[in-house]
Amino acid sequence: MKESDPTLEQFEAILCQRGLDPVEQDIEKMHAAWCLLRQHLEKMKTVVHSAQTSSGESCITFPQAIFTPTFLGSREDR
Amino acid sequence: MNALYRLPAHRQSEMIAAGELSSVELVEMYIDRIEQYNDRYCAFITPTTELALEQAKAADFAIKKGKRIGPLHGLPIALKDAYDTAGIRTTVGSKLLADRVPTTDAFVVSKLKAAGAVLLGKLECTEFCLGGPSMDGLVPHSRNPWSTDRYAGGSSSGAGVALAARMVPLTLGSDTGGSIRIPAAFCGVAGHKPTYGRVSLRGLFPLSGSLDHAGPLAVCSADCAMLLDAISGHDSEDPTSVKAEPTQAYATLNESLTGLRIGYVTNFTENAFVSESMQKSTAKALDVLRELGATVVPVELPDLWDFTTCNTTIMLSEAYAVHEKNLQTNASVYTKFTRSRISLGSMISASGYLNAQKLRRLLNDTLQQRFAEVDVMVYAGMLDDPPEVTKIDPFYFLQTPLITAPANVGGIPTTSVCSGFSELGLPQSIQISGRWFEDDIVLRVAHAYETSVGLSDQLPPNLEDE
Repeated sequence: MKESDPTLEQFEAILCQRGLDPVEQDIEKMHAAWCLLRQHLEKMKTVVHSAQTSSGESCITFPQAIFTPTFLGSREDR
Repeated sequence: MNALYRLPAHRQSEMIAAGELSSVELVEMYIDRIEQYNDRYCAFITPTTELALEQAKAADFAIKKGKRIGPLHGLPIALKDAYDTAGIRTTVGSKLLADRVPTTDAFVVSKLKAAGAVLLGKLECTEFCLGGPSMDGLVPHSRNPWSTDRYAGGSSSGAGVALAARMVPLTLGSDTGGSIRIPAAFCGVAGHKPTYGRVSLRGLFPLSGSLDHAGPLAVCSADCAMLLDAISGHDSEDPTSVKAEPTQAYATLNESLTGLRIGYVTNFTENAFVSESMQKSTAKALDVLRELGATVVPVELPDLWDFTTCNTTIMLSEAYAVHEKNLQTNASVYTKFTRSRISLGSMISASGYLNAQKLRRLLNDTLQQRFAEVDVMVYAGMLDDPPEVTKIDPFYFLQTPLITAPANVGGIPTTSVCSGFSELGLPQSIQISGRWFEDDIVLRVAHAYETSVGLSDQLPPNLEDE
């Protein structure tokens, strides 16, 4: 666990704020998983930001639509 | 002649067309096998045997009158219990939906009906299609016929198991991070995740809409091709569906591999997470593909962890959006694994989600660059043998990378086929990925490989004796 990670109590409190009621016996595993996922998310942020810096606009202008008619190009293209 | 259940579906189809076999005979044989094996392997959650016999009789009647619709006419099929079926309960493996009976069919189910397929039943899937195994779920989780204490893979678990035990010749699964290919790999059968948009998602319960794929699992890749041809095609009511004609993958299966360029994804296969045995199995498969006339060149893709994190972040965020309300009001009805996993999605910020979508574009740019150099890419199917069911951590996907995730992130067509057996006698596999909309080439490579090595007719040892 990194210093910046939430403590177990803080993690539980955030889930409660979201209206969630985590499985009591799994809360420690969930907390550990979230700390691990945070590390992966941080690494992802670094990869994306470095790509943005090196390639200028291409990543910034990435269409943020979720569904893939845009992700794969417009349907009319096919 | 081989026992009927040992024949692939395309061969059974030829026999029906030639009048050598009736649909009723075939369906009765599979019903007997379901009665014999389902208690042991728990693959079918809702068998529809009466309906199947009615449909089989109707198919025989039509075929006798010279009105055979096509290759699926009279062939039995079973569906992951995430596909809506009008009048037949569809639970998505959850107690929350235990009594849910849809009033309409999923788009692909209506296509199967139009093709004359016979519905043998609905298959167990891990709760809400999210990995698994669901130890405290609506029904017992499916048991892997190769070793019942080993995981059958998820989330299309029942499909992999029903095929391995030859309780049905054709199935439909769905795949968000590997849920077609993982059970196919662990159960020693074939699974094809189509190009995103090729097969309608309407009526398939969503896990993560931008990563979900509907597709076939079958005993072999030729059967996957036959089934894909029947379910693919444009659906004007599904915004993710592309305007493309149905595939014609089955017709081109036997074209030569000579001249085809295959990229061997070295960094997906030769790393500390992939067992030595699986690496050897993949290397052997590449030798076979070379012998078949293909040129194999090494290819490197971005780190497997980048694909995994991208997939996990999008999947958990989108899944949480689907389940937010129920997790707030009905959490105790969920299985522990599903509840804990999806709740983690509530912690991901909007910027985390959007970064994952940006990474998705970057990873896709690289995939497309590599596909300018090669026609298909081959890499290990799984990291290792199926794990023991009792040792699965609910968050395993954060501890080891998901070797099936790149195909979901890329939306690229990918087939998993059996490539041998480990020292413990458990199935191993390779994955073959291709360019968008080149499902036919991927399946052709898979079929050539399978035909050459002859592994697709192997049965789990305890079933060989019975």
